[in-house]
Amino acid sequence: MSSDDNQINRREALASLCGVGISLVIATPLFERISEEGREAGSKRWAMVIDVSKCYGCYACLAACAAENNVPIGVFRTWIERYVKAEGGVVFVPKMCNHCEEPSCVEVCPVNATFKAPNGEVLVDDNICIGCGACIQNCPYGARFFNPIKGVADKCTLCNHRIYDGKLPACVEACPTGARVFGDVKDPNSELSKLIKDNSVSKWKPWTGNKPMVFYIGLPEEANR
Amino acid sequence: MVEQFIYPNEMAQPVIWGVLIAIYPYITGLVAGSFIVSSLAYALGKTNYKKVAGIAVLLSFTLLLIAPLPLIADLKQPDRAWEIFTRPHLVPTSAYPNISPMAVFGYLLIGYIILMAIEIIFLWRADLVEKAKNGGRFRWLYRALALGAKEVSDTMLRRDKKIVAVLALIGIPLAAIFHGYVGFLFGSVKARILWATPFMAVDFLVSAIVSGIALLIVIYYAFASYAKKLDKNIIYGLAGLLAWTLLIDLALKGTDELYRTYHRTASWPYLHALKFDVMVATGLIEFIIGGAIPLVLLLIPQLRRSTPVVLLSSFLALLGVLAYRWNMVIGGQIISRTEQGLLWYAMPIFGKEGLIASLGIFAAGVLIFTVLSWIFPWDGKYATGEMGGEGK
Repeated sequence: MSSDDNQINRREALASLCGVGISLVIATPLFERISEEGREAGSKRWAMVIDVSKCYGCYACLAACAAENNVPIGVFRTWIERYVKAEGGVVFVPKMCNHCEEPSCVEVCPVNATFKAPNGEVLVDDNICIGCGACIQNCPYGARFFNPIKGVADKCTLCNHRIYDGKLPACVEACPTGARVFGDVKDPNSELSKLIKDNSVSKWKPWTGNKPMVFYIGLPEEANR
Repeated sequence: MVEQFIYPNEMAQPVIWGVLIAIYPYITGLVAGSFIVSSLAYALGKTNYKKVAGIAVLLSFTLLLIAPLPLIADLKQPDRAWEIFTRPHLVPTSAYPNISPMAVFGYLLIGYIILMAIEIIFLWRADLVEKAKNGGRFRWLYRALALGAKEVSDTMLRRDKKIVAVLALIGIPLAAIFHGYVGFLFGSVKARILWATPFMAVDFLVSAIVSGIALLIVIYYAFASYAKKLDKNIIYGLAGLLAWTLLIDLALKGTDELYRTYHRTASWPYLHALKFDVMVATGLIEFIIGGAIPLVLLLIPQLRRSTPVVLLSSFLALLGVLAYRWNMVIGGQIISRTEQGLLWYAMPIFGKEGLIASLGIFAAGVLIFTVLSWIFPWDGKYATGEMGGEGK
């Protein structure tokens, strides 16, 4: 019957249109290949050691970081917590992004805007971040924030623009007492590795499972939250 | 008063996901809930729900279309929203470990829109053919949407019915995943103690079905009584479904509360303060006004057969599920990531992330539903008749 033939052809046409449409949608990730170039694990593993007993709360690190990285007022890539003991005395605990080995923030980014760089530092690509806030939600350390000026997720970058130029991160360089030490934990001869070997080090909130890479010497229990 | 300990970055930005993200799971929940009720008639042979299944499909599709709006409005870079299609985080690599639950949203949305669009077209084809025959200015539209068919024939009806049945069946797990992934997304945020439980994905889905059934009762009553075609058996049937789903919903929530209260981990004082100091009003709406009261009303058989009681219970249940979304999304962020402090949320009224924006999204839904129900008659002879199978 001619009308049946028409209906069958129409159905096939519709089916193939749907098939093409669905294949195109599924193929959209191919339109933008995410480059794995330069992302293979490197030879170093950047880490920090923070000696709490050496910090006396001058906040030079905070000022240096803000100046070096244009961090807006009100949000912090690094900060210092001040604990006043009941019997007298103050303890200052510097905190920052831990550049975790298994960062929960990187896992939830829907567009692969934040990533683990080859030497372990966790970075955000400002040109890709859509500002959804999932990474900020999922950092158990409160290290991430929305940059109110750029409108993207922001955090400590370990002064990535300095450390590959033979310089130290701004906070480390500004610290007058040497409470912050930066180095390569894979290099047994680095000052950082020696400090870890010679001292009793602990991590901030290790139970998160993120495997943070900032080692604390003398972190008080009250500050471990 | 409990001791407060929060992080400095939480001072400037206490709550990241505001009212927009509180209404988003509400909308997707309604999508899933209404679709599952429609599939009862079209795929699972419960032909007694035929008459409401048409509205259910239209409601589901409308809400599906407005579902991305709160998400895009919440982004700080909404013009980059398309990146979720071109570079989704779906493949774990060393630089981008694990998979992001948020990344599956784009594909679920497109897949579900395609499935529903095709189901709607095949569901209403026969009715549109009749509408086209009656003439009018939009005959070309009806003819196009009916895919050019000029006559309603038995073969056409049989084939369309099979297609609808298949799509309605596939749509059930798709709807479940479409809404369930939101619950899983919240559950995947390990930094938020209120969210990081397996309970989130499950109860989000159950309360979604509660809200879907409740909305359907209200909308069906409004449309059908205006058209003087109200079939009270449908109201009673849906009321029974609502009662059972409410029961499961409250049982799940009650179990979660029981566990947290018994375990009393270090964050317990803050959970307690959240419930009884900070969010008392919305907690009351979620559990009592929108939970226990409609449940009790609907479990009493005599009251379940009274239409005003069923309507009231449906309104209350809708409010209750909205309060649940609010308490979970906003409340979850009010507990600091330290697990030992409480933050605050001041809902903006104006602006792209404010109350008016949220109401505007629902208003857009009303507009879209109006247009859709004007094109596709909710009480179409075939759509709510033969397409749903034989029998009354």
